[in-house]
Amino acid sequence: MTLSCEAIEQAALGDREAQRLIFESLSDRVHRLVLRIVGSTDADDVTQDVFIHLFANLHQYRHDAQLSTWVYRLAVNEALQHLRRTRRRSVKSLDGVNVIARSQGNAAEMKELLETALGRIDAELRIVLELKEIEGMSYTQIAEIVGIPEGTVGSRLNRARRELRSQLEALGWEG
Amino acid sequence: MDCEIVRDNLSSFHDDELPAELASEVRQHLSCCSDCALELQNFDQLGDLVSKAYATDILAVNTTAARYDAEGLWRRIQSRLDSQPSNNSRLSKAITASASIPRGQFVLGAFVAMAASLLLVVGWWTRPAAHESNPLLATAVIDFAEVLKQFDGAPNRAIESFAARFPFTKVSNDLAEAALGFRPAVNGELPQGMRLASTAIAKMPSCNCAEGQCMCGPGGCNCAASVCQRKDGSMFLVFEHCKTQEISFGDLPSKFAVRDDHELQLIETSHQLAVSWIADNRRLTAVGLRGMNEAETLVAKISKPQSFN
Repeated sequence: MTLSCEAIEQAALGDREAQRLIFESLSDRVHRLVLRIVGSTDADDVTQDVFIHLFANLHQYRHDAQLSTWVYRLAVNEALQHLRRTRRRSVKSLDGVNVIARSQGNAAEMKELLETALGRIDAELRIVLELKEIEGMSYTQIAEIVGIPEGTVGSRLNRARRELRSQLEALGWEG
Repeated sequence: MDCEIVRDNLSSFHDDELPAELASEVRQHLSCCSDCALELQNFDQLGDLVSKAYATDILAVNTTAARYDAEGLWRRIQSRLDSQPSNNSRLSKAITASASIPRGQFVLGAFVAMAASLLLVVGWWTRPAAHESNPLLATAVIDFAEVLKQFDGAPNRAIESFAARFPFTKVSNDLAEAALGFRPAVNGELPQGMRLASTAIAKMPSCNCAEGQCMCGPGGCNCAASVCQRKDGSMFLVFEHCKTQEISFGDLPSKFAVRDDHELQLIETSHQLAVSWIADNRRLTAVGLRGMNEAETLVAKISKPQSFN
């Protein structure tokens, strides 16, 4: 669904129908992004906060970038701030428990292993990795959303990938 | 092309984000370096692992059964929007609040020794850096561009520039440690030929650390601003504060490098190099360095973990 400038302006003025249009256009991806960062327990609340802040400040949007990029960046900031406030990891941590991937074919176990390993990586590294590998975004998009220079995206992904592998191996993954 | 350069560019190569010429050089290196080729294979393997594990999540978003309760979420958002004051009154309140924060005063050449309780002064903070054009998205971001630009003229002007925005007070090392809750990195061992000349405490606007993670308290972030001196009498500055207090360098171009697992942001002006990096849960920014060698030596020496008291 393409959002017209007029719809965005109407939403900025408080038009509920226009705001709903924006919500329906973006909420799925925002929720999924937030879910990846803060986990399922808090994803709904943080997603709510994202849209509340968006509509409260939409009048400041200057149409100099895609609205979706603007919103995803807001979502990343809100989610990271939530993590800092609550000091909770975004995924269940199995620290102290050996998790062994029994077989490549056991997809559920592999996913749990991956979730645990991802949960042990610094949130700022994890976000770029997930934006790249799960959301399939370009370096330009990732840089805009996370608020870092484009040149930094590659080096963060290097560190994220090496760290993920290291954590997977520490959890017994045999590659 | 050596392995270090290839490793630095490996993700970019893997993700097809390198310019063609550079990609070709990397490809050539990979064809005869088994170590780097293996690492690329590892990246491929991880990518497959992640995309297979989460492919169903992405597909599931499109099925009714798997969707989260979007309708319920919208109703809650609508309810909160209906219960809030209008945008205009909220905006004008925000503008009034920021305008009422007093600008700091700095008395040139006359730092006042602190009493036991530290003076906390609310600073005036800059607009976000140029590339962060949306005030909505930026918490108070401290712009160091002016400090760098002033340093080119004379180090004292850089200090004055910073102090004009965040009035700070020169303190003893012990008092700095007590006030900050950590020993400033430069209070420990400095590289040979360098010494700590003085330390001051400033209050930056926003600390987003989780409770118990630092001693900054609400509404501000404690910053140690240290003047260090070389044997020849020349100076450089080191700023240290919680990593959650964001900073920028305005429009000054910066490069990035990784050294010993630290991501260094490097800003070069006509007469000096500035470097900013995160060590443990703090951000350190050194201004007035002479080059990459000095920067690397300093980063390696003062990046050791510190604990809060």
